[in-house]
Formats: sequence, structure tokens, C-alpha cells
Amino acid sequence: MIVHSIVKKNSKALAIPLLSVLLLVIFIISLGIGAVRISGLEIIYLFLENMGLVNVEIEEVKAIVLYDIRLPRLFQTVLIGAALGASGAALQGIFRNPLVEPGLIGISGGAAVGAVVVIIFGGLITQVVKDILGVYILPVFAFIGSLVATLTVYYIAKSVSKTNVTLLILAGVAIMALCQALIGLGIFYADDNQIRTYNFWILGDLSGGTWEKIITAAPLIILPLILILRHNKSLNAISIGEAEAYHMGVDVERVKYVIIILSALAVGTAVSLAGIIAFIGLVIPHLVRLAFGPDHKIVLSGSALGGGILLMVADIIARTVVSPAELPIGIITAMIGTPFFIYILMTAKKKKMI
Amino acid sequence: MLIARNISYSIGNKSILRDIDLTLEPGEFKAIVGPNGAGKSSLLKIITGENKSYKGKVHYHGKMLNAFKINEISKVRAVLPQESQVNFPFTVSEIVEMGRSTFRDKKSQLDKIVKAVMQNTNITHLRDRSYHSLSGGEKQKVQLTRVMAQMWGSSNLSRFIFLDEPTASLDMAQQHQMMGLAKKLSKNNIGVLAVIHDLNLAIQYADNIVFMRQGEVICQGKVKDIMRKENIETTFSHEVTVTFDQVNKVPYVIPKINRPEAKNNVVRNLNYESYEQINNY
Repeated sequence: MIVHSIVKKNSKALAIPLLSVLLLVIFIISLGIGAVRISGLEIIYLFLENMGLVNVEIEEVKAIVLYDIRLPRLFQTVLIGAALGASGAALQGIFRNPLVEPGLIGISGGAAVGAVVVIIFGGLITQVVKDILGVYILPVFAFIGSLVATLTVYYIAKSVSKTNVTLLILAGVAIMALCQALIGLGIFYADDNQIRTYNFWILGDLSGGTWEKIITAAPLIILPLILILRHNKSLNAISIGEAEAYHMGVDVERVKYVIIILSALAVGTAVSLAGIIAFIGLVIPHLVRLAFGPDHKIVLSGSALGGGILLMVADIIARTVVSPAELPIGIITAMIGTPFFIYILMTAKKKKMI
Repeated sequence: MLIARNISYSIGNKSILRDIDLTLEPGEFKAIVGPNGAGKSSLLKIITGENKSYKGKVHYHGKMLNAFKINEISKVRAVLPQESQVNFPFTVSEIVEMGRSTFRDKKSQLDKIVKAVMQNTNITHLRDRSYHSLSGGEKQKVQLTRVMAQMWGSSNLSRFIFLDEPTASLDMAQQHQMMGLAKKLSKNNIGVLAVIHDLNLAIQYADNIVFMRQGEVICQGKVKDIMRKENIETTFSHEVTVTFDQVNKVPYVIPKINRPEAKNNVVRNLNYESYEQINNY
């Protein structure tokens, strides 16, 4: 017990540095992997050369692959992973339940409906809206979709004094079914080309990462994440009860709405980039909590980093197992996520954590 | 000082509280007693600000309760609920720290407060334990420590702590530890208001007692003035004998046993005379 607690205590302080280093290492490893292999040394030389510090002979194609394909793809992967991980942790916090996930309560489904509207019925959207939103049209529609879906689920589950989690999850199932119906309806009206785009996108597709997309999406993910991280104390207080948190001076209702809106923005943007990627928001906060304890100061930022790490690893697998072809990332995350989730459920049951 | 005037509250057509007046002074330990459904917890929810749909007025230090912001009132009063469901495996010191959630303490200051309150309630040895691994009594003590952390430190306004059946699931020793801690708080010039089920515990620790029944206050006042047979029997609809506890020097309430009236009852064979002598002391 004592040894365990000492380890826990130190691990808490080490959590963020440890995960940051891990993220960086996997990022660099991941940069080199693919149809064109680039060694770690070459990557470092390429960076130094770009800064004008050295002059070395490395094939032109490697520089192009590195700068125009892999770097944007990886930045996008980390952003999406961070959005899903941190939002999952924050939503679990406000609903006081470790089983809540962005996919479960309609955030991802609603975002997908919003994105499908743009992908398939884009032609019907008036030019004025397109002009105003510009490149932001996809994330904005995804955000609106996810916000509508999530608030609906929340209102259904909300009773006088607190949120009923069983109702929340069942309402999530209902809204997800509706979202799928709406997406199906969209597909019915789509042409072959749109269907192909849609199919790859809905299963999660990270290959479309470009600098332009990232510059658009990054603020829409990073800003909400920073604001979510600032709620760590309130989320801790809510963990011991809504009434308790209220008595401790936390405006529980406001915190809930803020977290829902911020999560919808971050996840909506993530979904608009690469489709629905399930299980990151469920598995990562679990893992971070198991390793470093439940303090949201660590859980929130740790889940952002952990989400980035897990999604990069999943992406490496997606790019290599059927190389030179590529598996949709959603399949990989579900394949890693589901057994892991079941394993966590079993341990949690034994420890009476749930 | 806390003043509640003409508090009424109803759900639909059902009246829960009718015209309740209640005050709580700094340093006062007041207990609310009464049967289930008397409205004790409802009253507590109203004066702590949790329930806002009532009629009447609640003032803290001359300011209306609904004029306080949520984090302002949390600097004036703290609440220990009946039982807290902690869903994540926090350690004891993390739970205690949460009492300071909305304070802007420096890290060193926060550590000092957490250490001091844990010493005060004698739970320092539990600090790194997981809350989930504690017994019911220990959990309740940790929650009280968290509540104390919220009211810790100097303030120019006097403060209040509300306890909703703090001894409900505790054994005898734990009950008295809990009540002892609550008493200690009141000695530190904090007003303590506790809903208590056990009449004798209330007598033993509280300065003043409020009797409630069916949403109304039957009577309230100093323990020695109102601990009368009539008051207790009206409130609880049960026959009692009020005697005097020579050991603790406080009144002691003995409820009448509801004996089955069977003729061949074995209990009758026991010798009660010596007990009756004690009763008539």
C-alpha cells in the first residue's frame, strides 16, 4: 500500500513530462514510417537543412514526403487524438461516469450529420453562407450538428437536480440511431463519387491532412482544449457529487454547458477532419486515470497527450499492415479499443471502481 | 448570523414546509430533530441555497441568500451531505483539497490547510489511502474534513456548517467522534446546524434543539427548557420517559418499548424491578 502510494504520488508529478516525451518520440518514429522510409538521422538532417544549418545530400522525394505529406498528416493526427482524449475525459468528469464517450452521447454522430450535409448537399447551401464560412464551412456544420445532438441528449437525461446517466446513455443510443438514419438518407441522394469520399471519411481517414486544413482546424481544437483544461478544479469537485460541488462554490450547471459546448467544438472539428474515430475518448482517460490517478489536472492534459499518442500508433498500424494500401483508422482504433475497453471493464469490476 | 423567516415550500399541492422561522448564531450548535418526512432535509436544502423554489426569506449577515453568488456563499457556509458518492478513485488528501476548489490558495498555503484540518480530525494517517478503500465511518470523517477545509482560515465574516444526518450510518464510537468534531467546530465560533435522528445524541452535543413535525416547527429552544415529555411525544407520536443521565449530566430520553401483548411472552419472566429503579432516579 505504502509503496504503491509513493509510486502513485511520483507518477502524478511525472505524468505530463513522461507523456510529452513519449508523444515526441512516437511522432519522430512515425515520420519515418511509410512507403518511403526516412531514417531518424535523415529526419534530423532535413530539419537542420531547412533551418539552413547544414547542407547534406538527401533525396528530394524524401523532403517532399516529409514536409508535404507526413508532417501535416501527423499534426492532424495529434490534434484529433488530443481533441477526442481531452473531451472524453472532460465529459466523463461532468457526467461523473467513466463510461461516457463523445461517440456515446451523440457528439460524434451529430458532427457526422453536419459534415454529411456539407459533403453531399453542399450544392444546396447558399453561396452567402459559403462565402461567410469559407474554409470553416465543414467544421462549423460539424460543430452545429454535434451541439444540437449533445444538447438534445443532455436535456432528455436531465432531471430536476442531476443528470441520470442511464437515461443519458439510452438517449445517446436513440440520437445516434437518428443520426445514422439521417446519414443513410444523405447517402441515398449521393452520387458514386460522393459515396466513395463519404465511405472513407466515415470510417476515419487521416490521409487527407494538408497544411491548409490544419491551419483552419488547429485553433478550433486547441482553443477549446485550453479552456477545458482550465476547468480541472471544478471537474474534481463535481466528481464527489453535484450538490457537493455546488456547496463548494462551483456553478455546476454552467460548467456542464461550457464543457459540452467546448467538447462539441473540439470533437466536431476533429470529426470534420477525419470522420468518426471511436474509443479514443473512452480508453485514454481510463488509462491515464489508472496510471496517474483521477486528479483532473493530470487526467485532462494527460488524455490530450495520450489521445495524440494512441492515434499516432493506430495510424502507424493503419499505414503499414496492408502497405502500400491503407486501412481506415476507425477500424484500427475500434480493434485496439474494444478489447481494451472490455479488459478495463473487467479490472474495474474487480476493483469495484464502477 | 443566519436568519430564516416564514419559510414555506411545497411540491405541487403538497405542502412540505409551513412558516418556518430559524436562526443560527456563530458558535451555536443547533440540532433539528423530528420523524421522517418532517421536512428537516428540505429545510436544510433551502437555507444552504441548494433549493431556490421556496417562499420566505433567508439572510446571511444581513444579506439575502439569493443575492450571493455561488462562490461567494461557499466562503460563508459549507455543507456535509448524508452520503457522497465518489465515482473516481481519489485519495483522501485529494478529497480534502477539493474543499478549497474555488479558493485561490497558493500551493504552499493549500498544503498547510490540508495538513492542519487532517490533524484536526485525526485522519492524517489516511492521507494517501484511496477513498474507496475506507470504511463508512472513515469516509464520513474525510468528508467532514473537506467541509472544514472549506471553512478554514481567517475571515471577517463568521461562518456556518450544515450537517445532514452526519451519524446516520456510523457505529456508536464513530457517532460520538463525529458529534465531538462538530462540537469542536462550534467552539471555534462556527455556527453548526445538524439534522440528527438520534434524540439522545442531539441532547448530548447540541446547545439548542428544533423539533419539527409535518413541515412545522413544534418548538425550539435550549435543551434543558424544551426536552419535555409532551414535546417529544407530540413530535414523534411515541410514548417516552425523560430521565436524567447522571454520568454525562444531561437529560436522557427513553422510548417506550412496543411489546406484543401476548400472555405467554417470555420477556415477562425477566426481572425489571432493578431497571425501573434506575428509571425513577
